[in-house]
Amino acid sequence: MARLSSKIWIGIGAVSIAAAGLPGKSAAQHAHTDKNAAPAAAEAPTKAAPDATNTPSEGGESYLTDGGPKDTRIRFYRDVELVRGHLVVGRELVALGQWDEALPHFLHPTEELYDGLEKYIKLHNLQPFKRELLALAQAVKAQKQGAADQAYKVLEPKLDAAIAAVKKFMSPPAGYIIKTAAELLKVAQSEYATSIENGRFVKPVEYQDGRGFMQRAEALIAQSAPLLKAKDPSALARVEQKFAEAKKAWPGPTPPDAPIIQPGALSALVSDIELHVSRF
Amino acid sequence: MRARLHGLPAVILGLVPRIQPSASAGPSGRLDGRDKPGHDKTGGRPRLLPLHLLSRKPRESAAIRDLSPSKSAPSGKEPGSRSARPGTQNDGTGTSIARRLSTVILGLVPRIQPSASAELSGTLDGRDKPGHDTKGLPRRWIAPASLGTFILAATLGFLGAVILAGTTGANGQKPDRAQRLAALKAAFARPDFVPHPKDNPPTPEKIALGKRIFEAPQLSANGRISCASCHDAKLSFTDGESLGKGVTGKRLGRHTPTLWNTAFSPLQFWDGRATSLEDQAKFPVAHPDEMGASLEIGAEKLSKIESYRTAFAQAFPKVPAITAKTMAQAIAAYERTLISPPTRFDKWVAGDAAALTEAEVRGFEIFTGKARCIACHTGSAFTDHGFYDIGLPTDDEGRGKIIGLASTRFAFKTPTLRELAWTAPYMHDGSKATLEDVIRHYEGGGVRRPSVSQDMPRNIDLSDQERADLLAFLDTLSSEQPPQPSAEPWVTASAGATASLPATVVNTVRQAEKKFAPLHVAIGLGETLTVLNDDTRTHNVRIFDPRFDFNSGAQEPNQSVTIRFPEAGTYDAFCGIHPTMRLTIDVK
Repeated sequence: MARLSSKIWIGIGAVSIAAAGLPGKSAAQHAHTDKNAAPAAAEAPTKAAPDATNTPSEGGESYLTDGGPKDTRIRFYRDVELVRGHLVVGRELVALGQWDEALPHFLHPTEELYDGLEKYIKLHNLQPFKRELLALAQAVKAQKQGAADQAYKVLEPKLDAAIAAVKKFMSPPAGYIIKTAAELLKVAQSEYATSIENGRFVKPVEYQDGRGFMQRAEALIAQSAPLLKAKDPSALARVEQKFAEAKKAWPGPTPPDAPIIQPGALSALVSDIELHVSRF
Repeated sequence: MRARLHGLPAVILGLVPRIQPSASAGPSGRLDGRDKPGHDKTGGRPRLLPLHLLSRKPRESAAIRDLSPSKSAPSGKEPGSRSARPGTQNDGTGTSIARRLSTVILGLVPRIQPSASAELSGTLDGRDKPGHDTKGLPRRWIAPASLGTFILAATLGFLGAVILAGTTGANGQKPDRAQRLAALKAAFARPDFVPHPKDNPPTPEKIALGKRIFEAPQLSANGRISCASCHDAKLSFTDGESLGKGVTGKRLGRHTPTLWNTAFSPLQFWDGRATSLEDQAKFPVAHPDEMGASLEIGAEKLSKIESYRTAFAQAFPKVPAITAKTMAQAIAAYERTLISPPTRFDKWVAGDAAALTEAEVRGFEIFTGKARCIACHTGSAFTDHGFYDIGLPTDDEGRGKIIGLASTRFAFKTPTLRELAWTAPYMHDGSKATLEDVIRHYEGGGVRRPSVSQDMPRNIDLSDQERADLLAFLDTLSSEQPPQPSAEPWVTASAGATASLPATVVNTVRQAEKKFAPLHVAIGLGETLTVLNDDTRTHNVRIFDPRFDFNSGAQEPNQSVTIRFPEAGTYDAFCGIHPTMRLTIDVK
């Protein structure tokens, strides 16, 4: 199916894996990238892994305008899961009959995320899924449950395929999966903070975004846990414990009257999780 | 027939621009100018797209120039007998014929097989090629006023394409890949007119009224469901479900079909039980589980609304009555505007070689070759409007129940493939959620039973790459964004002059390649007309006329039907299985 350009992700992966081995620092902090991570790697797949301390003139941190991970595999995986997170919370709202509330979550994947994914989809000859996302959004606009279910049925295998494609470049995968979960939580925490002003929720859509991302992070942690338990049980236990605390920030698809966890406290929890995730 | 058609291959060949491969051009194209790894020679979308890199020198062929209508028309009948639409450009050369053919060809033969060794030897066509205007679009042909004329025109094009398939090029060699692709592209050229019945010409007022009625919930028993409830414009005029629901909430028996391009369909519904869009309109309104009312009841309701009275007066100034008939006419006029918009595929057909990737072009070749999809999915709308049992497990007898032929049991209408990405799920029962599922069905062959169509592909063994290419091609038939009806001016234009063919005095008509030949015959009163099935599939001859109701039943290959008409007059016959097959008989 997908014709994967192994050299691309292997090239970056080699850097990333090397970086991941550095104690106390995340792979993202050490992975080399230049201005356009994947294409750049694509252009020079046979180059030796560059030094992790590249100069800003070669890219450095300057391209990270979205605060995303430098490892393009994790970035791609995260973005697909962000798409999923939108859909998760959107479907929760649809189930509650809140079609209008749900609609932004079905539009955001194409409006905010797909463009970032598209270059990798093309590069790796993956099946595109923009139209499937748009078709799902159309079903939600039409407020037709059956149509939405059908559209999701078409979309889901393509999302699965995209993730399966990138996972082929994650060896062993569990560490990457849980790092992706941490990235999702970072975005969730950011959305959560944005949704609150003067001690109350003023942007429910952002709150809901965060809830969707959190749920995807939970799924990824659960997915990787059996594989990571043997490697560092204490780190995993810490991640799971802190995640359980962080999760309380989103009690339901509709924001509570007041934040259950303050943004600063949530940020601390997510940082703690990230720190322990870096041990994998 | 062959003797009369001997001029057509040259005409059709004339559709193919002569290509001059550039010696310097090679498959070095990259989409972004970078030599990306991971894009191999077979599957990488970014890697190979050399078509646009190759130089071309399209020019008219000598064959085209030599073909004036009078010279080229088979026995001086078919193309040459057609009256040009007022305002139609005619450059006085045979290119006008090629243009006409290329505009309406509905299909091409599946026996055109892509050559595995074929090289991409050049650009396939150009915007300035014969038959295309400066925008790269096919020039206008005549605009027949009736669906019958549309079908007639399409059939002529099909004939030419069929002949091309078995012919050789000017140098005596089999056409190369570029030539084959050019010919195939012509078979899918976009039409430039919508067929309208003579008694229901479109006007802006009528179309607007039709849209309003289409969206009016007053037509349903509970006042909450309109035509648009199931044919939702947001969902490409479907309901997006496997099986829809109407006023009773019960699941309906069949999948709600999209309304894209129904204007071109001679028969409506999955089983073809309606003979026109006007006829079709009454069925869902009256169905107890769909809208549970009737057009007559709806007319009563709408008559009480002043704005409707005004709108009907504007739409039907001669007879400004709100009746079931005028309601149906308005709805039909609106539905005829639901023409799917041009997509990347149409750009490619019109001459933009870079509009499709190499993988998509390969997919087109699989579609028209190995997978034999083209056997039924032909023409611009990718349907032959025929009825086939494709081996889906079902108790629904479909077309068989309508025309009573065992060979048409479980047969359903070939759906359009336009806007597929927006019209899932698929099949008459909505049983296939994805196009991958559909392709797998055809690869597997489905249920084995006697009624399964001879056109059903068998023993298709697609590789993963071929399947991916086929899917990539099918993707090009859909808009990138949620589609809106085409805004091309011809979509809402009034019909032009009616063209007709002179009758051929013969007593035998053939049916090869899903066409009656000749298309118009004359016989004497008391004489018999023999219709011979020299095709490879089951046909049927149906005459539905107050003077003469005739049904041949199943007409298997090599069987013939002999018909004696009861009185003088002009009769229309059609095949109940392949309703684009139309035959006009003058009995004198």
